[in-house]
Amino acid sequence: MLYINNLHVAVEGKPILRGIDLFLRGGEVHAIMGPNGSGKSTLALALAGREGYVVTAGSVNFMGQDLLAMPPEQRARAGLFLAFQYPVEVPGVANVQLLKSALNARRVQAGLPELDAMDFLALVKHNLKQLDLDESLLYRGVNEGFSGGEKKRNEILQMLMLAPSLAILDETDSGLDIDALKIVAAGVNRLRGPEHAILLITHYQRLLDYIRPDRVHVLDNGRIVRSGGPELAHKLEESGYGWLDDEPQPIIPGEEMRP
Amino acid sequence: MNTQISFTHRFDADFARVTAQPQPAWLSERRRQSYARFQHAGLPTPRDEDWKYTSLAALERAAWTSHEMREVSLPATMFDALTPLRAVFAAGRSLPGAIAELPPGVTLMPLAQALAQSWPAALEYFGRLSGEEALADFNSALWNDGLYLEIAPNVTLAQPLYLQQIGSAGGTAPLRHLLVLGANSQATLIQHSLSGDAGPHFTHAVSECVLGHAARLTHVEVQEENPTALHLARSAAQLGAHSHYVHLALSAGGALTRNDLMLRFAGEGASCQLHGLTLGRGRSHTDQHIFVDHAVPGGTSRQLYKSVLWDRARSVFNGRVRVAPGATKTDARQANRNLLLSKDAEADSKPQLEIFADDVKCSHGSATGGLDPAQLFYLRARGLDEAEARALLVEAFAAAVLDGINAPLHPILTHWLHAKLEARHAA
Repeated sequence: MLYINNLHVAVEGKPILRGIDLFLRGGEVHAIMGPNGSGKSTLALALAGREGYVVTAGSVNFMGQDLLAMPPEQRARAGLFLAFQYPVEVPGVANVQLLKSALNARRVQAGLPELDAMDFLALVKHNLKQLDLDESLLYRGVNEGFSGGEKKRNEILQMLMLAPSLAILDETDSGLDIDALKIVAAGVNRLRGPEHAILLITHYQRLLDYIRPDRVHVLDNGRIVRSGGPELAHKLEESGYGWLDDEPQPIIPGEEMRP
Repeated sequence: MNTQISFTHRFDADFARVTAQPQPAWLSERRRQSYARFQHAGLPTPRDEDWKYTSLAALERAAWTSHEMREVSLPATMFDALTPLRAVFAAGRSLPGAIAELPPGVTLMPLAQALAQSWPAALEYFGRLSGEEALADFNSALWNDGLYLEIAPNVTLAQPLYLQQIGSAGGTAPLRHLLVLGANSQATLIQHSLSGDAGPHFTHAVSECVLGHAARLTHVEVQEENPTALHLARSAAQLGAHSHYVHLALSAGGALTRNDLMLRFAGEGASCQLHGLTLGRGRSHTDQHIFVDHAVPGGTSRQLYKSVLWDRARSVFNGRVRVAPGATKTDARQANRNLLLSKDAEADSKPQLEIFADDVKCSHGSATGGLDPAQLFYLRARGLDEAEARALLVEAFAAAVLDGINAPLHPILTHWLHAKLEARHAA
């Protein structure tokens, strides 16, 4: 599904990611944890194709294609979805309009006909209900005046509509109360399945109580310094990130390193 | 016509013609006074503070004649769906056309006729609102045609009054309209300026609108003349107590456009919404010049002026708000937003707040820039290609000026805007 090989990314000339190796199979959920400034969001934005995130070395293969050669919209149409840490307000563009355009762009790419209005509305209403979102949000500007929790749930709404092959969730849990967190986690768990891989970027272990990852990676200073099972997240929760410095370890490529 | 003659004398023949028309003696005398003042003052120059950013040199360079258009075909327009009361002015002269039967309480006739017949409200308000600036005098001296609309108290004119103003190469003929809305009456006025051909022409229109107690007027000006046209328009409105005035200026054509809008709060508790949108391309120059005079307490004004500029286009926003001594509880807000889609485009913004009263709320803000890269990326990250994302953002930016316009006009203007932008993106 996703094979990241020795990825180096610089922002404004400053190296942020300094050799990331990561392999995700269909059906897998991986969590990336790490202290602030370790490069978590840079990884997410570089994968989504944000301008200014310059790949200085390495390669990324996504479903057999060279991801880095594709403009952002091609990445999205090919099935990559980024749930933004800070969803952007787009006043004047109705939420429903974006959902429809996004879904149809993806369907056309997949050789499917555009969804007719009735089917689209049925699908969106079903997903709204699952996320406990009010239907009126559809007709407001994208994220315009949404509460923090509504913005995050709106990202998950888009994700469920688009059913991406790879969903990258960039700190989707931050700023959510426990009820909203459960709703978001339930939404993410609905996407889980053999056709979908999920990359959870989070600062806290809390989200991982509700979305159980297959692998946990610790990012520090632009590199993955630890990889392990879900128990690694618990250790981080208990001991913080400080112990990583005390216990220098060679990076042992696990099975996730094999293409 | 000899362009060596100074601009202020170039219209002597037209002046002789309009003053020779049968009319009350006071009116020809007033034309004479206005013409003398105009000749004395001359055209404004960039040395005048109100014309700092806008030069009328192009107006001065060309020769203009008042002539009749031949073979005017009446184009179908988007407003036909509203089955409006339609009047067509070709090169400043009204075309004979049947104005449909008018509802009771509605008077509609040529302004000259209303003045000749001494309609009291026409006599009371004619020339009272538009000021005595040189170009207002120019119009007062030379106006050739125009309409008078009077609506009796408590009457709602459901059909919009639709004035189609068609220019013709080399032509000019100033238009003058007067609307008087009685207490609690309602009306919609649409002024639509077009070109009958591809040649440069000079459109000059002045409209004066008087809103009685609690009257409501929606006034839309759509300017889509050819890229060589010169367009000077002046709208003045007086707001009676608790009246509500909505003005929308959509400027999408012409080489040089100057829209002067003058609002005077005459009764307490009135409100107005003044919105404008400039779509500038080529080397077009569009100047929105607003003066809101809060002369009495308790008035609310909302201004939103936007421009979208391509190529080497330029827009000017000059928004002056005056809060008179004693005009307490005034709530005046003003915003100017300019979207530059070319590095050669330019927007000038000049807010002027003159506040002489306490206990008022006044604000203004101005911002000029390109599309927001974060928004653009967000849309592209959802699978919209770059061109589509840009088009969506530009349209969203522009369409905000249509807020406050009600159905059935709103969807028509939304469609118009979409088509204008689509034509631009395809270009």
